[in-house]
Amino acid sequence: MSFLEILLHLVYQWAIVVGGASVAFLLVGTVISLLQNGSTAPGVLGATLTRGVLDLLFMSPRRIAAIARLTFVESYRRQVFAVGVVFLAVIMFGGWFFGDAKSDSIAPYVSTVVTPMWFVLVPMALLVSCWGIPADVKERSIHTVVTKPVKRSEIVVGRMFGYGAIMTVIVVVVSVVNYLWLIGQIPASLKDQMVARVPVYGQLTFLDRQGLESQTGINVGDPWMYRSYIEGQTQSRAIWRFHHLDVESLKKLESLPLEHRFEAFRTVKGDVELETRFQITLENPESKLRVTLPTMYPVREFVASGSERVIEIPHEVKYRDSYESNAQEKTANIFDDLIDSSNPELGATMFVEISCVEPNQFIGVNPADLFIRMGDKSFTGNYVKAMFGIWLFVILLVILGTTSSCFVKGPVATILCVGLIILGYHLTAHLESQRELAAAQAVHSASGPLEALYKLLTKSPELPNNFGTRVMGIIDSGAVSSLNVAQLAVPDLTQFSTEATDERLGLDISRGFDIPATHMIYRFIIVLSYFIPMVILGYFSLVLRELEHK
Amino acid sequence: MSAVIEIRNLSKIYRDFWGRPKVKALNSLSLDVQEGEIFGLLGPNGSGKTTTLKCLLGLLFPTSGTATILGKPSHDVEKNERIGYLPEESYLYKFLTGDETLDFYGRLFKMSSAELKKRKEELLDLVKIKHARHRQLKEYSKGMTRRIGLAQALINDPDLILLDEPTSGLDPIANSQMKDLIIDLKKQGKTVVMCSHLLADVQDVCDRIAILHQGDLKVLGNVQDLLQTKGESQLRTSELSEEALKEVQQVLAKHGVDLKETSHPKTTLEDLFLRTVTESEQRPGRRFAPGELPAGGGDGN
Repeated sequence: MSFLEILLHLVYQWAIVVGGASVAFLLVGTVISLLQNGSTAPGVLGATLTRGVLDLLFMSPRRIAAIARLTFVESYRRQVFAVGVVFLAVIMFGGWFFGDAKSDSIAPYVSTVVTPMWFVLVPMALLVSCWGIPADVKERSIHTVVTKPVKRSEIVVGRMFGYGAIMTVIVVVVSVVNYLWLIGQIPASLKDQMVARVPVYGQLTFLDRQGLESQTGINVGDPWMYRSYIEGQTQSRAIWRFHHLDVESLKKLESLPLEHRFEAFRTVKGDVELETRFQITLENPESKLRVTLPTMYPVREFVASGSERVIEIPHEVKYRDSYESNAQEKTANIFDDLIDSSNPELGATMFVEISCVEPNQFIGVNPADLFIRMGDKSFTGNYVKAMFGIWLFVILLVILGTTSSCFVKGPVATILCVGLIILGYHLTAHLESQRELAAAQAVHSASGPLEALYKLLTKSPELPNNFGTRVMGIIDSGAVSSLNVAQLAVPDLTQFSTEATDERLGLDISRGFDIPATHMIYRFIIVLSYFIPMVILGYFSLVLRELEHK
Repeated sequence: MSAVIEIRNLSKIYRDFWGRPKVKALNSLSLDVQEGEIFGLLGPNGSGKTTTLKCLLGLLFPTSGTATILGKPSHDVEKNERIGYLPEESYLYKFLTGDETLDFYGRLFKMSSAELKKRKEELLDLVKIKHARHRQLKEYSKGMTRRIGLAQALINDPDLILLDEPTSGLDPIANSQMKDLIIDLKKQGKTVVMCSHLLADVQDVCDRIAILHQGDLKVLGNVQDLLQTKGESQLRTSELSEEALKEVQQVLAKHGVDLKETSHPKTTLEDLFLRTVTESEQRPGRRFAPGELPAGGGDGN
């Protein structure tokens, strides 16, 4: 899917969630209004909604700025900046952890400064944003504000901006200090790792020992399923299919740089003392031209530096099209002969095939283990992007915290947000695994809770086809849809992680991968998509409650 | 004169978490406040005075009934453009300085920066807090906090001022100044509504009062009318001799009137206190703040 398609899909999901939530709130509001106002309920509800729309559309930037400034000064005078001391302590003594045992990777250095940022900034964002409005209500200082011509929407937005500003200052200061520390502490020998590699990943498929196509490689018994294996001197292959290649950008490079990070799995059936090597074959999927490079490359699994694991393939490669000793040596141009552009849907495509050279030895591969390394970008720029990502996350927490604090007290708002963070990190993955488990185990599945209950009570695997069961089906479908919408309402916080995962190596700046601009836009959209509904929710929470401490 | 506040059958019942009635704070209150008058809401603690004000300001939602201020419903924030409110306790932001406090509240109104600056200076002068304008409110005394609270209530030069216990926590001088200020506001054509249980204060400044008790309106009317003792008359003369007094008694007896009491009129303790302190200020004693020594370094006596 293209970025635009993903964007449209996200907007569609957003509209469903916000629309669903609005309908739910409207229904609840109607019921409450009917109970409170009787026959005048529609009028009261209509007036409230009209007022809400006007209050949300016509806010005064001046008043918002005044409230934001107040919030900033409040946090400043309450010495929120003292948190800087925590970072200073971490940074001052961070070098102690390294001592003389210098790492061969910059990852520990980067983690030393990035990881504490999460531990300090997240609780801080919650404490700052979840407690402000409740404290205002408790101390009744809000009375002197709402008795001025201030709309509740301006209070919510002003508070969000104020907390956002204070967190922005903190993130900026901490980021700069951390960066200076990194520059000073990372040894000169590791400076070459301070880059932002731009990888182009391919899709990985396999050939098994008999040369038959397979989605997975050989299982060597490693419980970590991250890598799949190919065996040496068999027909076993790992094949990367690179699509949508930017040929013009590639042509500007002196060679085609392929970076690998394979893992060798050695068996005593082979020679464990020997270095395990692999060979590369390039293939044009259209013309079926296959070019096997003569060089055999060692699996350098213990080399930390990515630059030392780059294979530079020249634009012109020499090959022989048969194994006969007298076969004529030919020359192929990578761009003209080995890239296929005949399929517009796949764009410029090239296949790269890896085989293991040593018999009875295995090479473990993951889709991210081989990529075309485009021109490197600067570490500083990537660091800024990572910090921007952390800032966006903090801002998202500020938005959620401020909104929660509009309808519950500080401690409850904090717990609510912590719950959302936990859900945001684990809900989607958890539900997916539960669904897979249920699908795998279910003998008689049910479309929803009512059908499941019916089948449980009647011990019947099938539903009779009558009016009652059709109604049941409609209710079940509504219930499941509502749950799906509710699931979408929880922010997907895994998108903000700076820790590398199996699927998201690129988001960990310590690995030296460039954070894609599209990903930053995606994060920004997530924050924006929560900002608007949260302001609406916060506004109605303040409008519909008495601002009197009880 | 037109009514700036109209309250009709206003009731407020506080409920518990489960929605069960807990306290009936207001019971079908109806009253009007006319433009340009000083109106006092009286009553003991818990009588519903503050609840009435909070319902008027939209801080509390009435259980039934309506309240309009300046022709707009109580929940309409636009009405606040012309309203000033001084809460019972000065619920201000303690971390702001006096100057920042007025600046913040001023920015919530449609005022130009120049206008706000001018207004701020006027108010700091009016409430006599200019010397402490750069100190945070947490360092203010209770009286100073009340005064800056009053200043924030007047920042927009409001037409209607709602004061909840305005003299609470003030010393007699500040109390007197506050009352003078309230009377000044009336002279400027503004309407003032004040809640208080300090009856002397209300008597001194209010044109009309309402007395609430347990949420019910018990008395409503003009202060002078309500305080007038029917069926009795009072004469006030310069010092009378014994003979003159006897003759007055005889004249009164001739008309069938009893002289119930003769005495020397007394001043109030407040007047005595104010006179003493004012005189003391005009002839200062030994206490001077650094830098305030009179010329020549003498004690000024």
